[in-house]
Amino acid sequence: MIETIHQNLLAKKYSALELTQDYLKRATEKNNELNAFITITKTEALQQAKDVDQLIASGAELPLLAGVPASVKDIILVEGVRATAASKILASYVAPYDATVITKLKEQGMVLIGKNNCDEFAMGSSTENSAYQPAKNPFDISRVPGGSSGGSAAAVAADMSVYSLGSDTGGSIRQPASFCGVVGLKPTYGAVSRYGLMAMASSLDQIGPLARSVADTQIVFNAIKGQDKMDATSTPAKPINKEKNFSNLKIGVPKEYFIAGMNSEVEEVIKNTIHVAEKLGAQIVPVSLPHTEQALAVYYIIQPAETSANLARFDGIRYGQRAAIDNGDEKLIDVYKKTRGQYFGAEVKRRIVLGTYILSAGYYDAYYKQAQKVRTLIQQDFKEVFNQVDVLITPVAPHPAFKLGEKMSDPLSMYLEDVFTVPINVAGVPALSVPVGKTKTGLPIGAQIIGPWWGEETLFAVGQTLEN
Amino acid sequence: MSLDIQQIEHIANLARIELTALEQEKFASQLSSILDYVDKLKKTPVTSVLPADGGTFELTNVFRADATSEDVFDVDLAKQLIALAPETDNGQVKVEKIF
Repeated sequence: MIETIHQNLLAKKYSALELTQDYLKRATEKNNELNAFITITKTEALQQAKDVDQLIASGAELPLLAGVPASVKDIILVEGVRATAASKILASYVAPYDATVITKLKEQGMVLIGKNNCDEFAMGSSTENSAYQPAKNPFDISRVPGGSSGGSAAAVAADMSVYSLGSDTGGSIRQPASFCGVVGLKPTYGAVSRYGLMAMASSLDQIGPLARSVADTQIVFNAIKGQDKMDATSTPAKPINKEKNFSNLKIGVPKEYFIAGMNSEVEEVIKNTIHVAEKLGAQIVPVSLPHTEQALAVYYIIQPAETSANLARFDGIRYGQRAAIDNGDEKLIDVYKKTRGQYFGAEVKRRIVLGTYILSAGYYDAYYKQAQKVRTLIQQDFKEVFNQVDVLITPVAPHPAFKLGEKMSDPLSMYLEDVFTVPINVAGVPALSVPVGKTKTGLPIGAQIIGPWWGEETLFAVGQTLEN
Repeated sequence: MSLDIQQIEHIANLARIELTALEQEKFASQLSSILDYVDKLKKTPVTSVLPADGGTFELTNVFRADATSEDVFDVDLAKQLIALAPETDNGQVKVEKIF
């Protein structure tokens, strides 16, 4: 799709301004129903489009992404644009600088349609934790679009933007991509700079693209990747450049990802996908990742622990909202407590309290340190399995998109939805969510293709074949 | 592992979050069930396993020269950043008294 837009812009079939106006109109109209955007950046988009048209008129070389209407999860900073992280605490916060990924896309001539709805500070699997009302699934508006990058996935699926940037800490790009029938990539940890992404869990967070095809996803990933001096955890790429076609491809199927209680249609579609890969010539190898069951527990220790530290910065002093003071006797600590109590949503408070407990004196060794040791075992599982196979194919989520409100009363049941996606973040490997089928009622089902560290190119090659 | 309301109150104070009585009650039961779930890790044998220290498998140190950024001298940027604070006074961030 990006390539087509690029060719059409060059051939002057339409101008960047016309294209942008078309997307702005559709995004504004559909947003009433889908709530995929928290902010629509009409003024910026029109100006950026005019700039691209000037570039085209000048005859200068046109970058591939120039003039392509994009959207960005509202947890990534764009200079001069409100960034709420879907939280009341940042209701009127205007970002003072661009995230590195935004700088890179602006250099390519990005047209920003708006900022996508998400779970508050990216905490959730349904976008129901947004303080600005949930986003809806374009395939069935009584259902969730997934989360936390649910607005991004809904916007791309409903053609309100051509691609979106999301963030993935435990499945927040892949699961909404699967629920909304689009492609989503969680890159290798360190592949994309996180400068300007509001941090949730620093050892797990990655920025990645959501788009309508694997080819588009690859284009956006190539535009945003790379080491950045502003993010010390970003590292030089060590890409694996193995030429892969299906006749010499080994696909691992980990038995731990086909569990009791998963939806039978999801299981059927994924098994069929594996069968298709086999018919195309791939060798299917049953494998085991023995510590899969522990990965979710590891995740729900490490992630709240890091969250509790990262969100300490929202204290009502330097930016964001500040609770009103009742009388002259209040002290600084009261400002902190009232501000955070009043402006954080339930899930954010729950995770901060849980993380604070996990890191408190006397419990650190039993929880955090133990989790980091088991994390080593999980990383070793992946290292060993990728000595045997090139990629793994698994479901993205045990169920298709669920109903709004269905899992909100029980946090643990919501956490269990992440069972197939969190091990990837715990290990730091890349994974691609590709739509491969639908339920009888028409809900999309995605397959998760997992690769070794820096194996993105192989994921794209395999994904491109399977999406067709 | 179960947490009672007093423990929740204590932890919320450490986390600098004021919780309502209803939230304290809810969190006590919800966090107890989450802790019960993650307790399964204690059974995983980890003798002689080193803790992972990040999201990458093989960590290397990242060094750079201790240089001063030009931003430090950018008066406009400083003004812009201070303007983001909810309360300011004469170019400074204003806070409540500490004691």
